[in-house]
Amino acid sequence: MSATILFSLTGIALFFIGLFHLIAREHLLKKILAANVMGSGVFLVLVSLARRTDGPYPDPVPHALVLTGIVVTVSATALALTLLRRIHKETGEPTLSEDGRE
Amino acid sequence: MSIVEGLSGVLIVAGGFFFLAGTAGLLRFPDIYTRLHALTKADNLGLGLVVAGLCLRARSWAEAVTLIAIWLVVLLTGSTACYLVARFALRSGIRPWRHR
Amino acid sequence: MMPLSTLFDALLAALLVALAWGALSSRDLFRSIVLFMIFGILSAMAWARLDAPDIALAEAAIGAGLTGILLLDTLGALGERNRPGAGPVRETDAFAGWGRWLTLRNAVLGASVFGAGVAAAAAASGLTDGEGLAAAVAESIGEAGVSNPVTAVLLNFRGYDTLLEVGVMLLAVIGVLSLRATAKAPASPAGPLDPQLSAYGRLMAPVMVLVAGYLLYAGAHAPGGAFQAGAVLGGALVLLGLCGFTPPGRLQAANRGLLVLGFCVFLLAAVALTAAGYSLLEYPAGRAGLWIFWIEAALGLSTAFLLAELVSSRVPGGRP
Repeated sequence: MSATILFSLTGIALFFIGLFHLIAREHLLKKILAANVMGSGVFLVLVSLARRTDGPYPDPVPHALVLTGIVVTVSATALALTLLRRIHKETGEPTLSEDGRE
Repeated sequence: MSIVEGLSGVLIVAGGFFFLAGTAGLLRFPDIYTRLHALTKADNLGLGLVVAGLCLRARSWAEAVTLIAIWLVVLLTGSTACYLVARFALRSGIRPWRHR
Repeated sequence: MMPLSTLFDALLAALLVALAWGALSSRDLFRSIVLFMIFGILSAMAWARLDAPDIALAEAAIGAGLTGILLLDTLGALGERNRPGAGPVRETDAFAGWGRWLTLRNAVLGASVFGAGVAAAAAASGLTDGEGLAAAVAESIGEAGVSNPVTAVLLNFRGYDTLLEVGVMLLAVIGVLSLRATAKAPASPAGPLDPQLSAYGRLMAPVMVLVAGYLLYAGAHAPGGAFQAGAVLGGALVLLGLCGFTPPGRLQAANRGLLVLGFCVFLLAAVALTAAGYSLLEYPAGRAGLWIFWIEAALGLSTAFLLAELVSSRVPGGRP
């Protein structure tokens, strides 16, 4: 099993693990972590696909995409965390549950 | 396998053994101070051995010096972090473990 | 492929999945964040194994380091570690009454397994076989002005995407800043927080600036580049902030300018080139390396201050 296939499958697994927890967990910090894990999964798939040909170097376009993705992810995570802090400050709860259980 | 490669392999494996020892200490020691002790001592020495093994395989002097510089930075950072954690633990009231 | 390296890759992949699952399933949020940071560092190792050193550098600095600080900071501001809601999966009331098997949790699980199966089948059936763009890049790399193919793609062939990326970063910082109730920067603690830490900061910050400068310069021909340099420099700024270092008044005033500098320089360059008759972000022949270097320098500087601003922003009411 080459590294490409191995890490692509890992990336797919990470994406769906993140998706599951994004929906299933109530705490907003957990949701943000789950979204980050999903992003990492997508990056893994992109970078492992970049190695599938035998050129002089691995395909640099997915590498550039992932680099952009990492920077955008940290920016979005920072904004999401600030929103979370604001929600916590306004409502006192770090969740958005509506069924009154929290 | 030449002598140099063999020696480098031995050094790297020895470094790995020290990492293992540090992890065993992390899992088995009774309180945070002893765990910090195990981690910083064993991991820094382990990294030093790994770096030594890699220096033998380095392709140029610049690479070897870079590796050693990385080890020194990790040493410095690790000890600072260890000190900060221990200080915070002490301030939080965690008492060092005493043998009963 | 030697079997030993495949074994290493398999172990790494298994660890990544285990860490992600452990981080997301843990009841203790602090544990979640720590596991997530370790996940980030092992991701950097995965990038190194996949021949992507540029991404490994960026992930180690940004993904594991800065994101970790952001998360821990937020956790401290939330003032809690254990929340009941972080534990067992809850089904929403909307699906109650549909039968015990048709819960949201099982639906998501089923969809995940199905999706994973479809994706794996697509990969295995050769749907993703293709030429890739490595050959196309290799052909044009001579005119790119830099010899690092990733930098060439980022700053030259796909420079437009990078321009928008810096725009996104700027937007995020504007969003974060706008959520602060007060307009002033938070008051720094009087004096150094801890003598050991400030000694460390005094020693390491210049080293980090040097490393950032080297990464910026090396990005043209070796792994490195503007974002990696910006991330390391941003780390130095965060470290100095943690040591209680108060920037002089002039630097604080220039902060806003530095935040927008990268985007503005890049945008100006694009506008100037288009006005001079070149197509979008096509550099003059033979001078591309020079243009790329100065744009990268501005981008790196801006990225550093943008990332530092993201980390140090405070919502009043939280921990200072």
